[in-house]
Amino acid sequence: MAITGYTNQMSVQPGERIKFMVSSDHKKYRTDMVHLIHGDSDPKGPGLKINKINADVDKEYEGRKQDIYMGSYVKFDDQSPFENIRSFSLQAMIFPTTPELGVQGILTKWSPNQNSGYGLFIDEKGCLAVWIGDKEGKVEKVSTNQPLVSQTWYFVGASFDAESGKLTVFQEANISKTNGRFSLPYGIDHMNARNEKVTTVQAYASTEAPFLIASLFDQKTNGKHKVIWRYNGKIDRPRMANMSLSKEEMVSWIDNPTGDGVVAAWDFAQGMTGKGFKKLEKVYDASPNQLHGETVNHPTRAVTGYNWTSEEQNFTHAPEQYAAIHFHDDDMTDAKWEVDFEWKVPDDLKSGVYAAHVYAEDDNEDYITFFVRPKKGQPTAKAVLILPTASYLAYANNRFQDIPLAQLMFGRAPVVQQEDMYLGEHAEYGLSTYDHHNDGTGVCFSSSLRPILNMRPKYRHNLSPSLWQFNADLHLIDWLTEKGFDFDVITDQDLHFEGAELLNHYTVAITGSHPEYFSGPMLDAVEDFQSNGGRFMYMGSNGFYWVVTFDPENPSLMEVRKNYGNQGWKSKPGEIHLSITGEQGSIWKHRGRAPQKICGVGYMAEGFEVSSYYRRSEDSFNSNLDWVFEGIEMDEILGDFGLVGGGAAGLELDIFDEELGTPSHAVILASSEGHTNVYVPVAEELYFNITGLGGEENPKVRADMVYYPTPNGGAVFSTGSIAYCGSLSHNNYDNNISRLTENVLKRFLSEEPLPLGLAEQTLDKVNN
Amino acid sequence: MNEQAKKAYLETDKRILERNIKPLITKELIEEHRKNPVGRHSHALSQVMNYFRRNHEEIEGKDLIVCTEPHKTWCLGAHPGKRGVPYIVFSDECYDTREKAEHALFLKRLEKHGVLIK
Repeated sequence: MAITGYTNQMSVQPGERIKFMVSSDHKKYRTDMVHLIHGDSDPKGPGLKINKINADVDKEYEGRKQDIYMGSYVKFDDQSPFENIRSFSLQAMIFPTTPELGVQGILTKWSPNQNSGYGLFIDEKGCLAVWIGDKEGKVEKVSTNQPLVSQTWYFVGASFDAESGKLTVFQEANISKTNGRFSLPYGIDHMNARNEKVTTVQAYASTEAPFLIASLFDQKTNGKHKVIWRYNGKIDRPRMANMSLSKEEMVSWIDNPTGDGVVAAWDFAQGMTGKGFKKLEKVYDASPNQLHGETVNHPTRAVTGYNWTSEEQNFTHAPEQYAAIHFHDDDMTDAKWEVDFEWKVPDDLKSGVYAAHVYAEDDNEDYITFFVRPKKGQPTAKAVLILPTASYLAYANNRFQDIPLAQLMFGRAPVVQQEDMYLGEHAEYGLSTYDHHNDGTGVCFSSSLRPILNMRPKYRHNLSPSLWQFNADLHLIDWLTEKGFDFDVITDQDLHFEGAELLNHYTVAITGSHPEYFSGPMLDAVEDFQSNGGRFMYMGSNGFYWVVTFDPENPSLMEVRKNYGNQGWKSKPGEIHLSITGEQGSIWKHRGRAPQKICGVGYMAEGFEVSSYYRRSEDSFNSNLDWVFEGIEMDEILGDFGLVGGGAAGLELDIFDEELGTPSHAVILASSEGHTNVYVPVAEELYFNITGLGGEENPKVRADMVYYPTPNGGAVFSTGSIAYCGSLSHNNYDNNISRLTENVLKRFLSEEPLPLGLAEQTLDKVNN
Repeated sequence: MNEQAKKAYLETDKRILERNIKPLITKELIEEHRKNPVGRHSHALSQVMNYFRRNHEEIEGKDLIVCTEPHKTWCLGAHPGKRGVPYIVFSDECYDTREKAEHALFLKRLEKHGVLIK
């Protein structure tokens, strides 16, 4: 992986320009623009189909290495008020999460080159410390000499009186019954500490090093963006004075920072509205100086503050209890690389999945993948494929091999690919929403402004026996292409920002194999399309599950807050609401929008080692459904073959559930069977965890293939299985999964009315 | 897990190994795995596999299979226990199918727990 890259946007229209950012260890590399049809290199399948399209950017380029820097912090444009400082005070409420990791900057104006400036730090012993350094680099450091206890709120501060030379630092635990790890003040005498020293050193801060919250810039690397001594944990109510405040004054400044000495008094709750943060990156100074700042790499907002009482779970209802920001030393939402080339997408380019194939010697290559949608308001086909880019973002650069219990879930050892090897070594490529930050908290943001090495053709994903998400969805694209169907592709961002208006251009909307992450506007779009008579093919499982949103100002950024489902991490108490919108996160089921309402089936079970097959239901033999099974013998087992685990029913499985919104006239066409005990029910469907729930004993562990008509001539077809699309190409596309899918799609595309569902047929008989 | 909790966990896990897992290891069980390293297993083999795969919920030293050449070479490997450092690849333990690598890993795990029957 000596060459990698990304684009400035996931979705692009013909006629628009798209930018490509590339890092290459090689001095020269070449680019070929390619159309991606099939990315599964399995010798048992049809093989790679990656077609060169001859673009004007296809040529040789100068390669250069571009780095990525992790860590979130707050930066400020106006530095002058922080520079001419003689006496000062710095204070904040802090909730450190890794004090044991050594030096971390909290409020710093410190030049590591010159050893000049001032700052409040966690020191190498995990204790609070204040540092000052003069023009000559002579440094005074005073530490509390008491290690901070992680996940505990502290009131911390430091002051320096330039006249007397007195330098003071203190830390004081602030433990309530609800705000941290403990509710009783165990050993508080050891947690609280104060220390002072009289020094001849004066703070000199007129250096190039800027004032930052939660980090400081590394000046040695000439990197514009590299920060060091990155802080893990929360900061609430940071304040700075240009005078030495007494401890009592600092206490009163927690809520009432007043007087001439105020340099800045940041209120991280400012900017919150009833609908979340209006500008997610903006940080406000409530003092007359208005030293507003900007967060970098998206630290987590909408997190509980030092004064959270647990009575309110939604930050928008109690902003004063959510005036904290949680910083992580491994937050990374924008690689900020320089642009290598820009391409104007030709006006007549067919909608589809494309990539800039960048390659150098020694077989080093990357496919910088992007999606070409049709021009707005100008569909080019009757069918549209909604590519689940929100879900690609959720899994972006995931590292399942790093999860202790994942092998039990997989039912095998994870097969680590070369892309995974690279990510293992390169933490800076950023995490997925399945990973934990270095301090153990979950990753709630994912961004496409970085190379996403698992959103590539050829990539084999270790959660699946073979393919998963992006590359698995190329199975479907290949089948649609081979079968000669015309289709447009759109991304989740397109659906989120344009809604049903976009879908209503089409007769049939088709999903990918695993559209798990869905925003409210995306759900609205699909349901409005359905109520308008749109025909819908859900080609996978575990769809319409997690509540997510995109940043309206940055469609490359997605947020999720996990809990109360089947999940990689659990949000902390009081932190389930999305900072961008203020809406409740977790899964849609808990918000009255279960997937069964959208597609007649919902997530029931998962297992990842081998897939199985479907058997037709008795109801499927109703003559009204013959069109679905045309060309398939009555006794055929469906899908006992395929490139994903050897069968069409596997990985994650959805079932019919009237209680959760499957319409009563829906028909189960077929159900899968024969799943192993690695397949178990999902957490949210259990009341108690009891024995005997595995696939070998539990009839709920199955996929249901479902059909039903919807109002105004619409209909829904659902496969209920992620592995399904991996079976489409078997036997040169001549197999019963391919045939059944083709029967459904052809009928859905036709103008012909669709047959009624089972219960409706009965009603029809009664009425006549 | 802090040290005390870890100690309780590991002592319990040791007793699980002695009482519940070791008695299940037979030549027939090893043969069952050789024939079908991934997929439907007998109850006994599943129980043994679950024990191995759990690896005391420790990530450091956890077994991996590393595909060094797509569709051609699979080597046994191990997790280094932290991010930013390469996964360990045992280049003298490589196989030409994933299934062979899975079975080699099974034998390695039996040996590690002192229960390999030859």
